[in-house]
Amino acid sequence: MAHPIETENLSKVYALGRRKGTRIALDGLSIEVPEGVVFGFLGPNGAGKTTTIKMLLDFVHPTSGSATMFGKPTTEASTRRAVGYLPEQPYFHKFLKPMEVVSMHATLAGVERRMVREKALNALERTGIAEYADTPIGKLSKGLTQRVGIAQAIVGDPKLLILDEPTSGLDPIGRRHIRDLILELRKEGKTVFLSSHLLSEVESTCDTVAVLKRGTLVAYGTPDEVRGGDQRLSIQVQELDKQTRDSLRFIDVTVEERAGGVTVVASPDNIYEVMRTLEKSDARIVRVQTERESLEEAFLRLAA
Amino acid sequence: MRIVRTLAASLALIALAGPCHADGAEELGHHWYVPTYRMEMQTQIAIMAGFALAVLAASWLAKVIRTRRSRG
Amino acid sequence: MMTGIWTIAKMSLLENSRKQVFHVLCLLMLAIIAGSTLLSIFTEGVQIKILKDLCMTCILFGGAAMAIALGSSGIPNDVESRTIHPLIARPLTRAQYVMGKFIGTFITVSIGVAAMTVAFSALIFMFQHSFDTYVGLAVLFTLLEVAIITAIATTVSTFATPAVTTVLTFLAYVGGTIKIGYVGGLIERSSGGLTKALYSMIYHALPNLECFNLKTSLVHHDAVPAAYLGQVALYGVCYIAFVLVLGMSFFARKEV
Repeated sequence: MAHPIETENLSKVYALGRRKGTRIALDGLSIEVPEGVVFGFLGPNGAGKTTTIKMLLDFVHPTSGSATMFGKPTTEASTRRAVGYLPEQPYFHKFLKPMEVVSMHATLAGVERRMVREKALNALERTGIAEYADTPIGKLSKGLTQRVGIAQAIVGDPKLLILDEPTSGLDPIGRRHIRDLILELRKEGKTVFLSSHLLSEVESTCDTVAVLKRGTLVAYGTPDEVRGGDQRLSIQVQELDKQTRDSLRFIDVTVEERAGGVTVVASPDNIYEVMRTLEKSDARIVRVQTERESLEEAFLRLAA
Repeated sequence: MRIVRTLAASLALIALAGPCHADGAEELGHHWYVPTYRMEMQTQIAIMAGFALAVLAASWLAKVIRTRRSRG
Repeated sequence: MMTGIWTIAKMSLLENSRKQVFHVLCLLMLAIIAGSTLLSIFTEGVQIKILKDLCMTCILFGGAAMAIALGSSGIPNDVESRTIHPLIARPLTRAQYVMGKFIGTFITVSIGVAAMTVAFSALIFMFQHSFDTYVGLAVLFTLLEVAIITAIATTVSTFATPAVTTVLTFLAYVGGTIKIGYVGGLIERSSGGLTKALYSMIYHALPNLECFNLKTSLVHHDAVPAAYLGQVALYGVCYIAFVLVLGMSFFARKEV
């Protein structure tokens, strides 16, 4: 069965002029997005995330390679019938009202005329802005405009949603609302392709992540696989004298000043040696717990 | 203000065209009796049709070449 | 296919009808048409002829100015403001988008022309105490001429900035109006083969806009042969289609 998104050696090189040469925005990206998952697409600014999305939607043309959505080339307009897209900063004509925008997009998405109003209202309710349906977009805040963008993306009941920074501009309640909506869409069997900088949100919603760095794919897999690294143990002590710190230097551990005291982070292999050193120094142990590298730490390790 | 300035400049430019076409109309009289107008329309229609046919022929040829290459 | 085109056309109509330049041009031309009633220094017979000539000129110039102003900014504004992205992310081809923008702009201009025509017809009724049937035909072909200008503006805007589009469309309008007399004369007077070829290319590329001018028919009540009108209408439609197809192919390769 065809994947919702499949790219093969997708590349984009921009010509900057005779003297400035070229800029590689994307270099040989090959990914497969499975159906029915929330797929996180991560990377620092300029990594090539937006360029990839633009090539998937045929806003820009690849220099080489290919991309398909549900087995059909991305260059065909009919391919986008099953796709809903939220741009990074949705722009709509300021005089239009959310109901008009979402209705227009419902029509363009192929919704039957008699169902347009009902579907539009439903989409506005799902994104929590039904009460602003008849307020001109020029009078709405950035967060509410963002929700209009999400509403127009979901109104056509698409099988694939491409969301570029969906929680940008939203307050914590709004972000929670959208996160719940994304999980709901996954339950409905839809595929969500999510590009975001908020790694905590990606960690809590995504089944698979891909990390880009300077146009190249540097990691791909489940959040656990991307995080990598072994489990670590952190021992929090009230204070640590200089002699003990010097002793710990000979063991492969990290000593960090954190809120509440000093934390010694060690691998399970050398935990016993660490505990013996701490016991000798009469250090007061406050807490011992296991730790894993967070997605943010993994991101910084891979893409910084 | 910028719109008013642009508008004024556009209207001034458009008004300049007035004397040009007024002169032509006086010299030539009713254009529907002047063969040049009919002939030029026919020439342009022929050029556009020729261009369209050339593009269609080129696309068809490219398609045939592509099909033969993929088979061969 | 038509649903997509019509949706873009409706949005373009809503957007254009809110632009200040459209309102200003409409009001200005209506003011000139209304002001033409002050031509009481002439005898009635001459007055009505001057009124028809002046009002038809206003309708043409007003329509052309609206077509240039609205047609040159529609697509570039959408691209620059990125309002185009959610639209072309839909199953909508670039060709449908261009067609929709053209139709929306043309409908907006037609509304302006219709308003001027109503004012003009009211004035004629005021003077002649009857409606002039020649007005309908003259305005219809003026509208076709304005449609050509709109198509040129839409096409050029697919690859040029609004300022460049305005200038090029204006030059095409002026050139198309004077081509038979002036550009044709340049070809006859030129000696060099290359210069002659260049002038010929320009001559045959420019639209033959004077054909659409039925003002003298309206003023002098001279009937225009039906065969000629049919040929002009066919020519207009062909030219519009050709120019728009060019615009669609330019826009198909454009990165937004």
